[in-house]
Amino acid sequence: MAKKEAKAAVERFEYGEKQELLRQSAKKFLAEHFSTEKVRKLLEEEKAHSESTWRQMADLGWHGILIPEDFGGAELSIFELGVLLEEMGWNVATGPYLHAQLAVLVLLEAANTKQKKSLFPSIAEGKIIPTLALWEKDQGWDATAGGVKAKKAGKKGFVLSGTKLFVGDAQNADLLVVTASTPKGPSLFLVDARAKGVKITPDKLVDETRRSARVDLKNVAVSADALLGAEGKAAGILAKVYPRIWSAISAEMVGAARRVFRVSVDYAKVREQFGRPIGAFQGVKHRLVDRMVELENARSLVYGALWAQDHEPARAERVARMAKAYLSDVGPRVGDTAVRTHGGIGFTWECDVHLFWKRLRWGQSQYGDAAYHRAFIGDELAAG
Amino acid sequence: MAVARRPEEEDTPEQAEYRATLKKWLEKNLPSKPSFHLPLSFLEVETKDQLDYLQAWQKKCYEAGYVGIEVAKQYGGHGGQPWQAKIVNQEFARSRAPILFNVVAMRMAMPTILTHGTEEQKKKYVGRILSGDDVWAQGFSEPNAGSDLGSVQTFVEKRGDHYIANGHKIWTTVGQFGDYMILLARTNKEAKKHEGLSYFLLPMKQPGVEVKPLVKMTREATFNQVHIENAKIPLDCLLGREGQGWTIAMTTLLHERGASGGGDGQGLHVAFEGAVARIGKLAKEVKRGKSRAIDDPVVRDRLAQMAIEAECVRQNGTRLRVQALHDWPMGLLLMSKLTYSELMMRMQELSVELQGPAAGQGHGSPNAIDGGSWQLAHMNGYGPIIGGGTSEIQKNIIGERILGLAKG
Repeated sequence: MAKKEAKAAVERFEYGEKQELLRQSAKKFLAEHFSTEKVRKLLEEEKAHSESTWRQMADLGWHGILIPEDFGGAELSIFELGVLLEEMGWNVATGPYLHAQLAVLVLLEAANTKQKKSLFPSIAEGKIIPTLALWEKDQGWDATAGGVKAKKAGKKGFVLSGTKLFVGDAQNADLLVVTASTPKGPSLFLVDARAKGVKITPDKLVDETRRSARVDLKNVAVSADALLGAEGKAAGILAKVYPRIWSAISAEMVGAARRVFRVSVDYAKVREQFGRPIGAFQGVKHRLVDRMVELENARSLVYGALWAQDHEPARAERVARMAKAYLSDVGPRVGDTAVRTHGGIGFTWECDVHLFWKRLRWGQSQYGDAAYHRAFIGDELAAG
Repeated sequence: MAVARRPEEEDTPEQAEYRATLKKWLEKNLPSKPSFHLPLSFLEVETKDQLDYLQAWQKKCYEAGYVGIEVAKQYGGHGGQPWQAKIVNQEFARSRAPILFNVVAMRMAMPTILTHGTEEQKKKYVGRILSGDDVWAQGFSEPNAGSDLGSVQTFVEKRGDHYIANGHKIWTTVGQFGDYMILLARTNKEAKKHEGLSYFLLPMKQPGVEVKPLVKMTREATFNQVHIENAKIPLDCLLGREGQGWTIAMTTLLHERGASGGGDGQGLHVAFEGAVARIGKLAKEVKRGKSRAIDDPVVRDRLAQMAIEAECVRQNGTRLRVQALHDWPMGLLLMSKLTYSELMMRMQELSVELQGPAAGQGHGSPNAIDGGSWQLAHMNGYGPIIGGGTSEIQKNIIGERILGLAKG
């Protein structure tokens, strides 16, 4: 993201008081608003979204965490967003926060001043919830290869038609950031979620704490101002933003994984079989240690990736891919270990473990899994 | 291609100058490649030629001020700064300088003597350890005391103005060249298992100490069995007090696990990133008809995973400094031996496997790739995995001390 002054390249991340204060305040707030009891209530609701919590997050400055001060934001960096997301993962927080922030990352990269002026203050206040509408049927994680078309409608704007799938929190969103193809190629458009011709049909997710939907666009008319970035340049814009997105999702995953790991270790200390705690058995103990080692690696990698986004431009993509690849393997594996360590109870609805298991699987499915990213890293290693 | 940032890019002017001087020194002083196989780790030192070569190299480095940087001057060190040691590690790794072979001495004996020794002991031993003049071996394991180290049976008793030792030690790396041995032995047969142990600095060049080579699966004879029969130990070669042996041995093992895992990770990532680069190069050179090993998507995927884990080593080194980001204060340190020995082994497996039909060629075969050094390194990968407590023992220790799980 654009910074007021260029920072000197620093390879080693610096985590200090500013970040820790943010974490402690987030911990307090999230423990109150997203205790597992509350998460369980919220996930039964249609939108899994508490508007009063959302408003309080605005007061804390969270919605505008990345938004420049000139537009009413806190102008912190993705490193701090990562701290916040790690805590949200720890709490399996529900609601559209992550999806809104991913959209903000795209807006920061591509929006012109006029668009920033009109959108950022309302986003920072929590009054506009944006989300990315990228995926389509049978296109994998390629947001620019699909069939949604934007036709020029004279000088006034475009008309969008087609279907977007897996749109995160579309049912909670006010603003959709859509990839659609014009004759010049894949482009990004801002689409009002309530515009005429937009039909939002909720999905049913494995991770019930999250929401997503199918978005049908039928001759949706948008003005020329709705074009985000230059026409035909969506691929380049997204390529710049993706590493930040991978880092952000990885941060949320590492939070969820650390929490469910801790719960598993605690359980292995108190659950007794054959007259002793199950953690005494090496089959259980060694598996937990394997996960601990992976989590230690994962957490270092995530902070390295978040840091690289603003401080190591030459390595930003590579480290972010590494983080998303590693977390996509390790996150679900920690969830798996959690279920197995808990045994029968871990397989039940009443035990909280499944909330994390599902969240980690969800993270794995977003923006490229381990094999997907390793293929890119491998190509890089094979080049030259 | 996004390249790893070079460490010098974050140097202060003072550090940059130190690095430049060191680089020049290395250029001038790096010894030429010997005609014999140069050991890649202290676990591979087998012949007198190898020892002489490495001993001369260590002495040269010591005299130039690049060994024992952080050790106090009065004990023979250079009284320098941690950043200097870090830069030296980085540049030695980068220039692929010969190893500093006296690892048991520097990473195990020395920190233990510095922690538990008397002023006289520190002055007598530390300088000659750093210069490489005195070679040290470890005398902990016995045929019936491997992972269960507390059950050692070697017995030492006081006889007037000296001690007499009897017993049998095993897996004694560089024992054939040893001047001293850090010896864990029983001094009290009545006391409880761990309380009856003491820690000695045993002079090895004496009639009562017989060192017999033990041949590894690689056919190298780099470690030994040591038969100790009525060997004499001067009274001032007891470290700490009688009965403190177990506690003192834990100091040694903590340093060993740090040492064989590369310590705090500072500069260690350079070694792993270097390994990834070398395996990548190998995978490009190995042909499979019209394609190369690296064109195999499975090879590529595995290599990418290695690169990711090497990056973890780098980032762990950074996070180590940030207390607020630790779920377990000692976690990163205690896991390093386990993690890094296992990662290196997986890298070695890949390096051999990707060679296809040549993978079966042994060290010294005229048809082997790179003289079969990959195959040799692969087998030697078991050294760090088993030595200093097997990975399974490490997992018990981590599970119990870090995670707080019940003992089995």
